[in-house]
Order: sequence, then structure tokens, then C-alpha cells
Amino acid sequence: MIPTPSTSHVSFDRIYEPAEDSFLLLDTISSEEESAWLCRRFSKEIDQSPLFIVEAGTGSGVVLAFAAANPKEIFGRSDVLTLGTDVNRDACKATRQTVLRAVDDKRMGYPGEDGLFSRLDLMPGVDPGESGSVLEVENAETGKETHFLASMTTDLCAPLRARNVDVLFFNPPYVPTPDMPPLPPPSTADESSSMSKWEKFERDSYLLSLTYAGGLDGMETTNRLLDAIPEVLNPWRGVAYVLLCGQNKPEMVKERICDWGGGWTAEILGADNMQAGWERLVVLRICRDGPGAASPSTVTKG
Amino acid sequence: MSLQKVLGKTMQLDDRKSSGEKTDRLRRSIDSATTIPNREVDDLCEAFVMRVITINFITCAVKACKASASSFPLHFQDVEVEQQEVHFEPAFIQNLLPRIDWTGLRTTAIELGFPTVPDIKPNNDTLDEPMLRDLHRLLLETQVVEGKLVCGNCGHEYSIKDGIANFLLPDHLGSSPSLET
Ligand SMILES: C[S@@+](CC[C@H](N)C(=O)[O-])C[C@H]1O[C@@H](n2cnc3c(N)ncnc32)[C@H](O)[C@@H]1O
Ligand SMILES: [Zn+2]
Repeated sequence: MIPTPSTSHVSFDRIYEPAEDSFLLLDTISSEEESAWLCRRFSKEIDQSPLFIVEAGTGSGVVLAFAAANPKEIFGRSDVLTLGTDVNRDACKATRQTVLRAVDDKRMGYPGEDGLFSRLDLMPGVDPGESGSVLEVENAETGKETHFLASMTTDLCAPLRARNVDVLFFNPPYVPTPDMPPLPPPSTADESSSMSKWEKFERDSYLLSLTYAGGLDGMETTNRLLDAIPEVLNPWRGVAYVLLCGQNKPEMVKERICDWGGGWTAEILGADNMQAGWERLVVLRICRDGPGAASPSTVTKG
Repeated sequence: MSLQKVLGKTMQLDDRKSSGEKTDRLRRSIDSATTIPNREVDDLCEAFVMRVITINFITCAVKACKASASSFPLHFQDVEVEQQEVHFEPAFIQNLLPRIDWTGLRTTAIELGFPTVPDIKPNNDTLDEPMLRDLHRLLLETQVVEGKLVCGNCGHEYSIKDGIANFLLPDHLGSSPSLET
């Protein structure tokens, strides 16, 4: 298992703490079957241009950091550009720390949040002489072609240019709620030093409500992201991973996407990992298939 | 928001976390929470801001602007930049080129005072190492710390503070209601 990126520097009173949903995303994209699929789709033999990986709603940044630190294991190549968005500015700051730290931890061989080591030779009790020196060489390469571009405060993918994203992740606010919290205004004050205790509490509660409140069927934000997918994804090789809970009616969401036409398909993954609990989580993989998909990209004009 | 409502929501969040089976990852992180040393990360992160190449992947957040050619590239204004050394990988830059909008990059380069970007996008025959190094320096090593991004179509200004660009829109421009009235 690939280590979980460390998030011990993140303050969780106003940023979503990685939980089962975050981990299901990590486990799904790094499963043997899924990474084999990803390696085929993003093979350098088909298209040499580096992958552009975006996460909407990064929170702590644990998912984006996982992808940024382990691109070779997940996508079969190490040349990736990553970018994160969140409506919560504190989450944006946390994300770039988490991503940078994960890439550095991987290179240096520090353990992840779960105590797992990515380098066997640094694992306590393992004789460094015997463990793979191959790993060491590979890890030394980590981060040389992995570039974190930016964290941006924005609603979903609003400022992204059309048809550029190769991999999109979204672990949405998916809990059904009677109403939706409004998005923060652009002028959101940066620092809360002048806030009273009560104001700070209100502010933190508001930011936390943004992490889970999904409105009708828990789908109000997710629906807006789904609508944007045909526009932002690279039509040849792009793929999106969106987490859903049972109350989001994943089967219906899947069917709706297949009805888009134009070769768009959706697949439900990770369903058997997580049967317990009231929320029954799954990951929806959305991409274009059929004729023309995953053929050499000619997307960005020069 | 009333206190009751706030507390209700917070509780909902807690319930959600404690419900159900713990995943392997969660169980592990609880087990190891006390045993993993906390590493200092501050130096690592403070210097880290928005790379110039980001501009190639973004445009105005206002929906009505997307169709207009003048909304790309967004224009840098009053920027403060920093140089940060990044490992130079010539093949990486070369493979990146097909993704770069050259006309846009030239505009950005001029705005940032980088006169070395050639008029015409180099092809594999005209590309040489010094050119790749120049591009590497501009795209990956140059970081924008403070400033503004301005849309050439609607004139909307997006601020960049501490390397984080803010694309949140006021109510009348956004697709979804915000707190501001
Ligand atoms: C369930 S949390 C997931 C956090 C993190 N990706 C993870 O998996 O642990 C949802 C995140 O989406 C963010 N979010 C909510 N609405 C958003 C929107 N309209 N645009 C961008 N981010 C949003 C929240 O601030 C929160 O960080
Ligand atoms: Zn505009």
C-alpha cells in the first residue's frame, strides 16, 4: 500500500480532515486494476505531453498530494503537473503544504501519515544492504518532473481553460441537506485576528459546512461539477474520479452520464471496499471512450 | 446561522466520521498517530507560490467570457515575482511545448519582462538547450507572489495574495449564490 500523505500540519477546525471518503479515493486510484488502466490510458507511447492533474475541493490536499508524490506507481510516468482548487482559502494554503511535503517525504523516504514507508531500505528492521537499491534510485528521481503549479480559491473549475485536464479528482460535499451554504464572497477577509471567539466559531462552522453540505440528494455541487466535465476534460485522454455516497443515487448518476452521448461513459468503482456505514461510498470514473478516445492529443493549439 | 443549527451541523459531521467500518488507512493513521515524528515543514512551504505556467491553463472565471478570444491569456498586473531553483529536465520542457499556447506565452513573457521568448514556437529542429533553459526559467522557476490577473474581455481583476489567486466571483457574475449581497 502506498503511504497516505502526511497532514499533521493542517488545522482541522476549518479544513476537512481526511476520512473514509478521502481514503477510498486513494485506494481506488492506486489499486492494481485501476493503475493498470491508468498506465494504459496515459502511456507515453500514445502521448508524450506531461499529465495535467487537477483536484477540485482539495481540503487538506491529501488526494492531490497522493497523486503528486506517486505518479509513477499510479499513472506509470513521473511527468505530471498538478493544480488544486477550493472555495476555502485556508484549504488552498494547506494543500500546497501537503503536496510539497508529500513529494519531499517520498524523496527522502519519510513515512506517511499511516506510518508506511515508501522505501523499504528505511523501514525499521530491514537491512539496507538487502532491500532494493532500485527503489532508492527511483526515489531519487521523485519530484524532478513533478511540478505543483498552484492552489487557487475558486468555485470548482471555473477558471480552467477548456479541454485541458487529463485527470480530475473531486470528493464533493455530498451529504443531503435541506439547504446549501452560499459560496464565500470574493472579498473574504484573509485573517481572523480581529474576530471574536464567537465570530471565529461561526466562521469555522461555515467553512466546515462547505465541506459536506450537498443540498438536494447531496448532489447540488456535484451536479455542477459533472456539467463542467465535458468542457474541462481533455476529450481524448481525460478522466474524472468523483466520489459519491449511496444517497447520491450513484446508479442514476452513472446512467445520466452515459446519456450525454459523444462517447461519455461512467463506471462505478470501489463499491465492494466499503459496505458498512450509513453512507456506502463509491467512486465514479468518468471518461470518453470509443472511437477516437485515448488517441494522440492535439488538444492544445500552439 | 443560529447556534443550534451550527451545532447540529457540526455534530452531523462528527457522526459521519465515527460511523461505519474504519478503512485500513484510517485505522493505521490512528494507530500510528503517536509514533510518527512531526517534521518541520515551514521552510519548505513558505517559499512556494504560483508558477507562471499556471497562466497557460486558466482563463476568466466569468462564463460569458469563455467564448471570447480576448479572455486568454489573463494579464498580469502589478506583480511581484520570485525565482526559485527547480531541477532542469530538458525532455520535460520539450514534451510540455505542445501544450503551450505560444501567442499567450509571448504576451505573458512581455508582461513579466522576459524578452527572450521567440516570436514563433520552436520546433524540434530549432529548439536548443539555451532556449529550453529560458523556457524552464520562465515557466517553472518564476513564481508569482502578489499581484493581479486581469481579463482582457470584461476587465475583471483577480487578486493574487501570497501566491494564491482568488477566482471567487461576486453574486451577479457567479453561477451560484454567494454570501455577499
Ligand atoms: C469532502 S471535502 C474533501 C476534501 C479532500 N479533497 C479530501 O478528500 O479529504 C470537500 C471539499 O470541497 C470544498 N468545496 C465545497 N464546495 C466547493 C466548490 N463549490 N468549489 C470548490 N471547492 C468546494 C470544501 O471546502 C472541502 O474542502
Ligand atoms: Zn472576463
